[in-house]
Amino acid sequence: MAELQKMLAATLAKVIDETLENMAFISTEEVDTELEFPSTENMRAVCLLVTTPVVMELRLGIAEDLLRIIVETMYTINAEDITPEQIVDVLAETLNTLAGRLMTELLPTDQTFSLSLPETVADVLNSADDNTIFATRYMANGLPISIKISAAATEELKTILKL
Amino acid sequence: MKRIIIADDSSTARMMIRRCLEIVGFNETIFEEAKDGREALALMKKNPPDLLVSDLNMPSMDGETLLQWIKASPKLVNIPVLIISSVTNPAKTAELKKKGAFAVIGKPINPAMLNEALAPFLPE
Repeated sequence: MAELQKMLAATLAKVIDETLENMAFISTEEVDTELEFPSTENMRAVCLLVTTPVVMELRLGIAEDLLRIIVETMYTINAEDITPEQIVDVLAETLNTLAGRLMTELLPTDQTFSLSLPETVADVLNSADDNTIFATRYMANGLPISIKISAAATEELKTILKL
Repeated sequence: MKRIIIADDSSTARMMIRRCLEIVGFNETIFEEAKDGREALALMKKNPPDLLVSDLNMPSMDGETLLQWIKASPKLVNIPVLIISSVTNPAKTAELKKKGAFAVIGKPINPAMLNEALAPFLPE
């Protein structure tokens, strides 16, 4: 499990930084999960499933203020012109891009994969359960981002990843 | 004037694609947007565009099904299809090219990626 988590940590850190940098020129920094995390009260969350070759769920939470900064940068609009739909759409598109980049980096090049459509969820972290294989936090512009990955069959995933 | 249809369920993705296309030279272009494959196919049948840029993961009709409909239609078969998706590793890219996509780009996109993929279609 430690090897899988190490692999996920390194790959996620790379792809989240690349994704947000490319989308909105925002750099991310991983934070110590032992430290107290800012309140998730003002965070918005979205999840999606990897449906093949192994079933996994990726859940992304981003502070609403950070989402506003991303929308402002991407759409080149003023803060007061941001719509709730743009915030939800940017969050969903961020996870969709992130999940695709993550799977592309993790899987062997001859292995295809499928993703479900992103879905908005109420619970940012959805407290860790038996299926949680990795959870981490980042900060960007001083605002929090959280990611949780669950897998239905960890051993199968490890076999595919040749671990 | 060229016509390009952009099919993606995300309005943010459609906006980014359009902006990148304008940056690489498609500024004198009519853009039409579709939020799924079904809408894109309806727009194409009504008035075939010069280029279709499509996502893969969309509700109602996904990009791969859309590509198959296009390649099965004598009226639409010659329209170039560029796939832009988060689900694009080398195996998927090869599969999509075999099905008729002329190029496949992974998200997140930038103008340089589009410039390279669209080199044969760039306005003079």
